[in-house]
Amino acid sequence: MRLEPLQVWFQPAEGALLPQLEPFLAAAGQAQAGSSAQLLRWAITAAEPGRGLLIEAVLVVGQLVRPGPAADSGPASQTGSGSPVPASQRC
Amino acid sequence: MLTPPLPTLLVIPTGVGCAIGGFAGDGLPAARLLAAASGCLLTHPNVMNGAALYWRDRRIHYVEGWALDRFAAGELALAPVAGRRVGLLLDAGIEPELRQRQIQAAEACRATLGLAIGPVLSTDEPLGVVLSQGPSGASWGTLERPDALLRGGERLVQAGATAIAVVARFPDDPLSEALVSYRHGQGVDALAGAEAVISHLLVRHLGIPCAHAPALAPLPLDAALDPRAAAEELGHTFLPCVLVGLAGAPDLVPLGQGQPTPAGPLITSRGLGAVVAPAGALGGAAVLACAERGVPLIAVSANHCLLQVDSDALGLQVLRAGTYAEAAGLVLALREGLAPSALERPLPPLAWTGGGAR
Repeated sequence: MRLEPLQVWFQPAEGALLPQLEPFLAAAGQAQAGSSAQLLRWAITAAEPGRGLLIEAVLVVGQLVRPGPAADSGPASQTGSGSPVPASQRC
Repeated sequence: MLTPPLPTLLVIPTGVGCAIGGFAGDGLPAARLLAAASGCLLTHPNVMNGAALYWRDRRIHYVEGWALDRFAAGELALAPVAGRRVGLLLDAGIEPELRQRQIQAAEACRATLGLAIGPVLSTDEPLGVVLSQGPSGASWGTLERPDALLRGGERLVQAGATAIAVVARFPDDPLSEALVSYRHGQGVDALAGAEAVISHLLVRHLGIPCAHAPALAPLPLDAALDPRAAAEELGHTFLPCVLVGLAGAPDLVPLGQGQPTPAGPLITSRGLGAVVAPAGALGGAAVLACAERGVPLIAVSANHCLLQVDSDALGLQVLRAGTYAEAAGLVLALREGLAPSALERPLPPLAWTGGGAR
């Protein structure tokens, strides 16, 4: 999995914005980063006559990587990476 | 007779330099006022978090931004809970001494506030926070290893956590122009965009309340510090407000076919009576979803920011408020069933549209 920024201008048609924006952004994300790209966060950050609306976004690309059992018991940290330690048991 | 609450959504976008709420918990007074006016306020951690400072109010529901967007879209409902166990996820990139400071902040919240906290885990790899800025000047950011964040969150849920406070090591750059400006009350919170990405990722993946506090080395004393940034200079961590917020955060209940309906009252977007946002920052998913469903949108002009995405740019109808005090008055009017236009002068006569055709 990786995160990737997306910046794109959008020229809306008449009518409600969201039903236009959401499919547009999904398509723009996939065009940039591939079919696994999904929107994580977006906002309209500028509006200019002639250019439309600037949308800045972050994409999530790919699937969560889960290491095998050996990696899960990796280097121990003070707080017990891989083995939860309730705060109440550390006093 | 008590007037029923008017569920109201308060949005102050993060990382866009809002004059109110763009610093360290400096949106809290506005949130408290709107909570009193509405009787039920839904808002996000950026509004409520003041590092070591916070305010607990049962009328205020602490909902992370990704979940708030889904709530506004009608995909999630909120189920208030008495309390929850907050797991603490620490970035493996945090140095031992700084990590101990975070744990001690959590211990303090257990000992003084009686919060249920734990387990505490470190991620299996450093998260690698990277800060950036968009073309608009808004702060953004990413992680080099988002998988490590999600794996850590999964382990906490398996161990019994019902909410997650995550602390990521952010880059120190005390002399950077952006940080100096921020501490002097100008510019943008350079950390905010990456913080939102971290909490969005976790909530999207786990479906439980999550929020973030950065781990940073202490800053040198600055005598010209802006009062709005002062909350972040009080201690070694920004964690207490996150733990308090999450401890009372509502359950996130997916809405849709086949989903079981939990017992107890639910807050849904269909019941929203108003949404309040800065007049120049109306282009977020939650505000648009509400406005396009006809929820009254109150645009606060005093909360200027670096964006100019206003009602004219988006073709939205708004109720204009100069300040949050005025916005609270409008919320109270809506709660009482008063038409806001009746409070303005001149009061135009009703339009006569003619007789109906027989």
